[in-house]
Amino acid sequence: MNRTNPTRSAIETVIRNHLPDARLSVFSAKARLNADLAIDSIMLLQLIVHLELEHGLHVPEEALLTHQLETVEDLEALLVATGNPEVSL
Amino acid sequence: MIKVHCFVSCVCEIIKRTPGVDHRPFYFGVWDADFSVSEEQVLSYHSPHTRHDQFREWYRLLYGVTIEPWYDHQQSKEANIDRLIELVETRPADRQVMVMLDLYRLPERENKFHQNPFPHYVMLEATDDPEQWFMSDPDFRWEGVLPKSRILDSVRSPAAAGGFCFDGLDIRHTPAETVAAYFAQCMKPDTNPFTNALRQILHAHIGPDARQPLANLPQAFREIPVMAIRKYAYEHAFAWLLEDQGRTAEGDPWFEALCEDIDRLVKTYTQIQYRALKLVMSGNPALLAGVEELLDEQDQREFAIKDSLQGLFQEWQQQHPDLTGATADTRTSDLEVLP
Repeated sequence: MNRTNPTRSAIETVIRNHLPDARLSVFSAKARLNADLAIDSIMLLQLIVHLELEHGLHVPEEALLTHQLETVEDLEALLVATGNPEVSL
Repeated sequence: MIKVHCFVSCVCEIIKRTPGVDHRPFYFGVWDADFSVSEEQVLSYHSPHTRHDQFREWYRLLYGVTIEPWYDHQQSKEANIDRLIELVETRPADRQVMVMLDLYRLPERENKFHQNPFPHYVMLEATDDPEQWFMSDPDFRWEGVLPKSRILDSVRSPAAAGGFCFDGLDIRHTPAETVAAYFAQCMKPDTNPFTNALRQILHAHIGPDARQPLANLPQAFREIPVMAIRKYAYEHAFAWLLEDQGRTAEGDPWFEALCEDIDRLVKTYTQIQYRALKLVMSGNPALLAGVEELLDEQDQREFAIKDSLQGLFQEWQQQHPDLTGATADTRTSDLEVLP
């Protein structure tokens, strides 16, 4: 668990709990969501919905359409840029 | 533009390499290309019954090239693999050998969709090394050498069954009247089959007529991205109809605005998938209205794109006065275009 970065920890927790087909063993900030973690487009949407419903981390729909989310860091940056409150783990 | 339609990408590759012939009119058949919806109301880009008959017929009419099926569905998989080996290893230089394989079984190939299985058409050639084959995958803009045994393993997948071959000799310039007839055949001005199917699937899972568990909706919608990108075929049509009249597409504000609309059309299917997931995962039925709203928006957006395209097509026709007899009544078209 990454204690210094609660947003990244929330992403990791959701993948562990809800995306059994993802390759969590290679999880890191730089890990590519699709090529490294095997997270396809629908799994990414599931991840985002879980982050919202379970951790209160909201991604505006428009950002889903306009942002290229390549890595864990990209998703993290989007969540932070959206001004989400302190996450609950 | 990346993956749009693997069968179309394979057969267009040879056209793209032929000077004086343009592959883009062939994409008229892609934006509303067929797909299947199972009895359980699950969307699928591929059906075991898909034979691409209409695409093959139009390819012959447009370019003068006959695409022959070599895969015999009455024979065993191993018999078909033997046939594939023979075709690849005795291939004349101008022959294209296409086979359907399960890309999921080739993890060494990046597959952004990560779908299991992932039936997909590629083209194969032998190399100087009898254990290695050359694979051309124009849909993903990939080509390279892979072990023959790995390729054949992916062809052995129960999810893959199909193959065609065709010769790249004597490709002809596309007659304008054939292009006009193909456009008339493909254009469905009064219906958007893909959005209609999504609406039907949605209402099969939630609402008064629902007969499937709501929890199954994410799976039913799983393959939306594979079909959504087919809408990028509109870009090819607009660009070709402009350029064939001596006008410029790239950089033209009208064309660029249409490309933005087409991009929005494709991406909004992602938004539909997102809202549908949220509806299921939150268990909040009030979110249904938000999904329906996007489906209605998609209809308006796509009808507007089709209107613009028809307008441009009419301008193109006026450049070809000899085509007056080829203006087929698209509203009475009854020929189904298969993927």
